[in-house]
This record gives sequence, C-alpha cells and structure tokens, in this order.
Amino acid sequence: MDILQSLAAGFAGALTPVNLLFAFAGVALGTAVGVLPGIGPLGAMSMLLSLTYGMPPDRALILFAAIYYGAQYGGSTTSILVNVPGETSSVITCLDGHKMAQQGRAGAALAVAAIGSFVAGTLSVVGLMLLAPPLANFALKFGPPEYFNLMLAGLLVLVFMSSGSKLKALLMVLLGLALATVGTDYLGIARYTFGIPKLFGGLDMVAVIMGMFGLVEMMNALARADATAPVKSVRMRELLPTRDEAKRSVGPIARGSVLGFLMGLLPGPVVTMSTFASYALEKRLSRHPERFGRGAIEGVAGPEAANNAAAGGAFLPLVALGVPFSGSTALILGALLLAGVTPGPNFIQEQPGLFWTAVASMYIGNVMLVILNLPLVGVFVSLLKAPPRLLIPLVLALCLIGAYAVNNSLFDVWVLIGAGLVGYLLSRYGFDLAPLVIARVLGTQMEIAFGTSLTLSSGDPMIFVTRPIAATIAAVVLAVAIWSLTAAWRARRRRPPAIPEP
Amino acid sequence: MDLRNRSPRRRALSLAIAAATVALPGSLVTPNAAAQGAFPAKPIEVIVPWAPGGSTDLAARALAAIVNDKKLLPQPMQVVNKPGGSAIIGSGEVANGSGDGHQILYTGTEPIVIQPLVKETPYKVESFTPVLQVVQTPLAFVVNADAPWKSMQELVAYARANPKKIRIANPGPQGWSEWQLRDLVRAEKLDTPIITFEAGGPAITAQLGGHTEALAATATALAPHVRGGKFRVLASMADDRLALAPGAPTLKELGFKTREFMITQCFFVPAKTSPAVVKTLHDAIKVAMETSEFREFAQKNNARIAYLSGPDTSAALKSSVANTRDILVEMGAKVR
Repeated sequence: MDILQSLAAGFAGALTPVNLLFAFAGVALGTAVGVLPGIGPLGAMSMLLSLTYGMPPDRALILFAAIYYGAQYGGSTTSILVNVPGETSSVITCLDGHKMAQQGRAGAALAVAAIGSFVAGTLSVVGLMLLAPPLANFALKFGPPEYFNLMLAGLLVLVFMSSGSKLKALLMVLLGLALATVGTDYLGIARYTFGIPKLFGGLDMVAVIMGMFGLVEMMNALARADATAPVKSVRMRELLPTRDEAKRSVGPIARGSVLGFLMGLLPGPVVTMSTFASYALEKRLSRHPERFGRGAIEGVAGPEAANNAAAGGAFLPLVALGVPFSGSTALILGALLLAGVTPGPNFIQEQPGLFWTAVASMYIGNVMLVILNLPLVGVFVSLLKAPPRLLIPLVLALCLIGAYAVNNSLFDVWVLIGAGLVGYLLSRYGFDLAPLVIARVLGTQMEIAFGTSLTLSSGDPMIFVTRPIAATIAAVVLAVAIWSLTAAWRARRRRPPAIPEP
Repeated sequence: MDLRNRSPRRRALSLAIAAATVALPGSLVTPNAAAQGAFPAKPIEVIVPWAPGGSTDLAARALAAIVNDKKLLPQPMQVVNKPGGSAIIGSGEVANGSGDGHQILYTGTEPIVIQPLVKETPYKVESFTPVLQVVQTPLAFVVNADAPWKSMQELVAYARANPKKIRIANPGPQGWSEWQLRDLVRAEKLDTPIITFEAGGPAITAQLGGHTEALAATATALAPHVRGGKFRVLASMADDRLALAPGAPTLKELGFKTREFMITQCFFVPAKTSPAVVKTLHDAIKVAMETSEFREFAQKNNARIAYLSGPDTSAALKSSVANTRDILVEMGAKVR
C-alpha cells in the first residue's frame, strides 16, 4: 500500500526526539491557551510566528498544527467549570456543560469532552490522509451565496432550538447581528462609529462573548445567596462518566466527528458553526429534547467532537489547495512561508515528506492530548472547590487579560465590561444570551458573504436560490422551518390553553 | 524548487534565545543603555496594523529576525499586530504615540496615502516620517488555467461584447489593486463588475472555485497557484514584466492606458521623532535588507527589494497622494 508506506515514513520523521518535543510543546501550549479565555491559538501562534523564520519546515508545521488542534481540547474546560467559553467554538458547550457542573457532574463533562475530542481529532486526521484532494475541490464549489445560506441556516436553527421564547431568541439574534455591524465594514466604510477612531475596529467578538458569558456568570454568582456556601467535596468516581452517560455520548461523538470534519472544509467561522450544528442535530435526534439546556451530556459530547473534527478538516484546504480558509490556518501558512516553504495546490506531491510527517505527528499529538487532558480533569474540578472570593476575581482577571490580548487593545476591555453589564440586564429579563453571541460571531462573515454575493450577481437576489448548492441549503432550511412551525402549531392545538407561557 | 534540501542551519540554541526574547523582553534591558538614555533603551515594538501571517507581517518578521540575529541594534525588535479598521487603528496608535522610536510602524502605504483621502482618520500623511522604503510587490492579472481566454486582448474583447459577464475579483477594499482595476475598466469603458473581497485569501479561493472570472492580486499571493498550474497570468500590471511569468506582457505593452500601482511597504515613525533616532533605525534596517537572508526571503515571496531613503520615500509618498487624489476625483469620489 502506497499510503501505508508514506505513513510509515511519516512516523519515522515524526518520532525523532526533536519532532516529538515540538509536538509536545505544541499540544501543551495549545491546551493552555485553549483553557484560558480570550487567549486562543491565534494569539499563541502570532506570538511564536517570528521563531519559525529559518526553522526546518517540518518542525514549524508540527508545532503550529499542534497548537491549533490542541486548543480545541482545552476550550471546553472553562465553559463547563465557570460558564466562560475558552474559545468561540466552545460557546455552545456552556449550555449543558455548565449545567452538568452545577449538578456535580463537571468531571464527567470534562472527561467526555476530552474523549470526544480525541476520537474526533483522530478521525479527522484519517479523513485528511485519505480524502484531501477530492474533498478540497468540492469545498471550492461553495462560494459567497452558499456560505451566506449556510450561516443563515445556522441562525434559524439557533432560534428554533432555543428552549425559551422563540420571539426573544429572534430578537437576540437580530441584536447580535446589529452589534456585528459596528465598525469598519469589509469595504472599509465606517458605521456607527460616531467619529470615535477606537470604534473603527468594531466591538470585538471575543470581548463580547466573554462579557456576556464570563462577566454575567460572575455577577450571577455574586448575586446568588449561596455564594459563600461550602462546596461539597468531589469523590473520585464522580470524575468519571457513568455507564449511562458514556452510552449516551457514543452517538453524538460519532455524528459530531463526521459533521465537524465536513463543515471544517468550508471557509468562514465553520469551527464554531459546526458546534451548534451538532448541538441542534443531537437535540433533534434525542428522545428527550427537553433535557437539553438542563445538563444533557449529548450537548457536550457532540459539539466538543465537532469542533475538533472541524479543526482537523480545516487543514485540508491548506494542504490540498494552498489556501487557508481561516485566520488560524493563515497563520500556519505564514509559519511555513517564514520557514521557507510555499504551499500551493501541489503541496502534497511536492513535499510528501513534510505532509506525511505532519499527518503522523497529528496522530501522535492527539494521543498526547488525551493523556495530558484526562488527568487534568481532576485538577480542574478541584478548582471548583476554591471559595468564590478566590474564584471570582481569578475568572474576572482572566477575562480582562483575555479581552486585552486579542488585539492588544484597552478599548476591548471596555467592550467586555459593557457587554457584561448589558448581558446581565438581558439575562435578568429572561433573554437567552447564546443566540446574541453566536449572531455576533457569524454576523461579520454573513454580511461579507451577502455583499459579495450581490456584487457577483450585479444586485440580483435570486443568486441565493438559483445556484444548485445554495438552492439545496435554502430548501432544507425552508422545510425544517415549516415542519417546526406546524409541529409547534399542532402541539398548541392539542394542549388546552390553560397555562400561559411564562 | 525543492526547498527542503536547504540544510537546516538553525540550532536549538538560537530557538531558545529567540523564545527568551519573546517571553522576557523586559529582562533584556541592559542597565547601561537605560541609564544613558541612549536609543534604543528598551525593545522596539514594530506595529503591523494587519493580521498576523499576511505578506506585510511576514516581511516585518523576517527583517526583525535578521536585525535580532545579527545584533544590528542593541535591543531586540518585536513585531506586534494591531489589526482592524483597514489598518487605521494600528497606524493611528503609532502616529499619536510618544515618538521616542520604541514604537514604529511597518505597513503598505494604503492606510497612510489612501485612507486619509477617503475618510476621517486619527492621522494625516504629515503625521509620519518615513524611515525607509523596503519592498514593492507588483500586481498580476490572472484567469483560471482552464478558462477560454489566452490573452488580455481576448478577455477584454469578450468583456466588451458581454456586459457584466467578466467579474474581476479584487483582494481588498481601497487598495492599489482596486484603483488600478477601476482605472483600467474606466479607460476601456467596460461594464465589468469588480468584486471586492475582504482579503487576498477569500479572493483567491473564489477565483479557484470559478465564482469570478478573473483576479488581480500581488505576485506574492499568486505565485504558488501559478506555479501549481491553477492560474494563467494574462498580464503584469506593473511597468515591467514579472519574474513569475516572463512570457506575460505588461498592460502598458498592450497599449492599455493605466497607471502603475505597486504594493509598497515602508517603515514609519511619528513626525516628531528626532532625526538621530530615525537614522539609527534606518541604518540597522538597511543593513538587514542587504543581507543574503533577506534577499532570499524577498525572492521566494516574489517581492522586489526597493530601498529608498527616508527623504526619497517622503517624496514618493507626496506624489502618490497627488496621483491618488486625481484618480479619486476622476472617479467622482468624495475627496477630503
């Protein structure tokens, strides 16, 4: 077998002591920045980018790839423990992960997230190895109208799957989209900046997320009467998933892996989108959808598998086309360029040694990550035992540093605080913040896709429904929307109108 | 083209030193230099107002690495990315900074020349003193390798006969590629939409996927795809032919009436910076530019080393502002 031979050669390259060290350094750093809110793989990689100048390219690629996929492991940790997403791709994990932690199941949630990440990470490397060229060419068929429909579908799904009032969820989506329009748009035109130069950069996504989740959660914790109540000790067996929890996680991890990998191939904020696509899918397939949002392990297992698989999938356009589809893969490309390699459409043929060493190193790195992360579960859970007077300032400090670190901007810290105050008021009045935050994340890219689509068609909106792939997505969205609405309508007719909705 | 044969000369030691440079910048301040008040007294921040990993960022990092490796300055140079707002934010921070030389700007000239003409910016061209001009990157006009148009004339003839059928991808708003494309389309009286993307990557992706018919971008960004057989270069948009595709004529040779716009990267400091500090920076960076390492970097990335002294860069900027103003007025745009 050709592939097996190449892979064996790749392992020979990846298993040299220096390359093992680089892979380990990468996954350890990736886990760390994944855990820390605000500071993500992008920040870590841009800090290290200068080091790759003149570095042997295999080391640069191993190190940067490991930081990138390693960060997807750590992102769920703070989501589960303190309701602060470590990365945008772990926002959805807050919904059920943190509920599980409140019910004393933090250990199980963390363990399932780590195992799901390992399975998905490994499966996505298999996909990368076997399917690179054909899938990359398929991904190119997605142009701006297709991305737009895909993101619109994502937002509609978000509204339909929200557990509370659909109208309130829709309002939050619209508010999130509105926040995304502040600042310089993609054509360089400033909007809602009121002449203040600081606003040209917009309301940073990371600052908004951490304000709406982290700060709001800390204010809630302070407001809770039991803020000083003693934390019950966590026994060892509570760290592991029960048999029932394990069984319920298998399907979501498998489906999340496939879904995440496929979405990871496309441009845009797909790693994040894959997590709520997976969440929505699991909620739809579940026999107990009412459990979601109240601590369903499926809601942790699926999205956490999906974001790892998507991160793996995102390598595919880079190695098969030489085009990075996201900020993170653009940095990996930058690292390779500084190391003296220029990946193009024939990267795998021109640099087989480099490609296969990287693939082998990804298998090794995923094993390292699961070995590194599982014992950390106990450590992280014991953090919850820290009294709130220590934990709350620590989380606040992490949020403040994280918001500053994204653009090295103090203004973003003010955005974080503002988002926290607004988010606290909204949550007090029963508004769900997740749709707002996700709309903010998707809004920028959606607007770009909308604008470029309409310039492509010289202003004809039919472009969103006449191209085959775009039309298919639109049809599926319409069908799901009609089905959901009629189902809700029928349910309402069957139920006697005794209790008005809260 | 096989770059892996280049023997890896870097030692683990240099990596460790570099890691320490990144991690512990403060520890490198020697008490001596700080006490004397000499320049530089602390690490020099090179602000790149663009996202990490782009061509401007990489050139800045390559230069900073050479300056640090060869100890051309007593303090290290560190690249810090401050992206956002079409590079206005990072540029503004430097313009309104202390001007002691410890914070300098490396960017293409777009935010300095174009932005103050079209919108409110926290600086003017005069807010900066150029330290030196470093590289220029020519633009190229490409179609997909399987497209029916073998020459620029064929494409223009088709575009003239079929309004709106040729869509040209443009990698970023209010940049030199957009002005040159608008200049070309206007001069030829074509009804040809210019599709502006948010950055080079998405424009190249759209062109590879056949969502647009043609693309104008830098030789740096296009090189891997031209060599990989995906794109055909129809013309060089610079005044001379490209090393990347010597067979492709220039727009001028073909008789198109268009001005040349090059992507031009320079170092800037605030206008109030003392001439002695500017000279120290200029001399160190100039030596770094002349090393074989930087020449190799530029060649691989299809950039042209285009040294100009500070005063010469200043003069070039002035004429660039005048030119851009003329074009904007011709296009009927509002000019500030």
